[in-house]
Amino acid sequence: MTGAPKAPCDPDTALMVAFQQGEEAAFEQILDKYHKAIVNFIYKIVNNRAEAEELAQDVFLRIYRARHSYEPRARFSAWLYRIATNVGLKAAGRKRRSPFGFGLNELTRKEEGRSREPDAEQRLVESEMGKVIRQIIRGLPKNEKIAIILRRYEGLSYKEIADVMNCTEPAVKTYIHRGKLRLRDRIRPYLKEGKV
Amino acid sequence: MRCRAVRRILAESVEDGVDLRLGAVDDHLKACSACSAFDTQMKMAWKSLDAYPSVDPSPGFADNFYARLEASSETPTHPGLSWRPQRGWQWMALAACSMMVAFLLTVHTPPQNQSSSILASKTDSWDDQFLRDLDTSMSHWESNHLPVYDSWPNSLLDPSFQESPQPE
Repeated sequence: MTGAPKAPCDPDTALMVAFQQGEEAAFEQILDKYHKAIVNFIYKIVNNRAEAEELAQDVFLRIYRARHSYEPRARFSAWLYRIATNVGLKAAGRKRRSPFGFGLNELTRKEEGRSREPDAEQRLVESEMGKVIRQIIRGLPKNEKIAIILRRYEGLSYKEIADVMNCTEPAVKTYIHRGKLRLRDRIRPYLKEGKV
Repeated sequence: MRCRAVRRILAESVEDGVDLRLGAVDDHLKACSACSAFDTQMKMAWKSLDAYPSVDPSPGFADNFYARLEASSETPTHPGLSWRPQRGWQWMALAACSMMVAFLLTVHTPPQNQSSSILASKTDSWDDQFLRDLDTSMSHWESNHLPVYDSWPNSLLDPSFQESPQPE
């Protein structure tokens, strides 16, 4: 048994390795397991549901195409969130640089999404507190925002966040600490008003 | 403990399942109302993040994904063109620069044969030819001391001499 390859202990990594070896069903399991998390994660970066959904599809397309070059060095989720972070930040940066405040593809997306009106529907159920939190997180500096989202909403460890953000664990701790202080400062006025 | 150190510990311990608080921190909180307020606000701020609205992907997410995958695989990248970079603008910029350099070189290089025929008059070319013949035929000393000038036309020896116009 000396020549047998060592099986990855992370079940998602095992699925990705199986997909790499030609098992299409393994990719379907990955897509089924992570698509909601990735849509929500990107939604917190770009603040548009239709765009988040399209970008999440981009993320899975990249994973599908990169299966041959995949190396199970870190946890699969860290690799997945790294791709999602890059895709989300790139889209957000493109939107910010656009003179109209949105990308060219967004016009098409708006037309496509008008029939089902996801954002309008979402806005109706969104509480005032939710709006406040959304605005506050949106206004955080990029690194603090990504670190806080990955820690608070996706439940990643400091080590995994460091892998996603390509930085050290102490750097992640600093981002999260600063982010928490900034959140507290910005939420404080609403705490006094009793909205939060 | 100082307030700064206490607040660092409080900010870290606000996350679920993390208990970094020491007895010294509790003692500090009892004595420091500002840090006590900080602790309360930090806990409320962290808890309030639960209010961030979550979205559900559309039911056709997987179908749309596979449709996009199929559409993208219909036009695969040609292996022979894989050396080309994705950013075409770099190649366009390089081509534009090359064309500009070629244009400038063409404009600023004077054609040799044209300029000599246009700028030099017929008389100049005769004089040049005369001097070249003189150089090849005699040395400087000979040109001064031999009676070679005797055979020269009068017009060259006497500047005041005027040749009669030749009939056409």
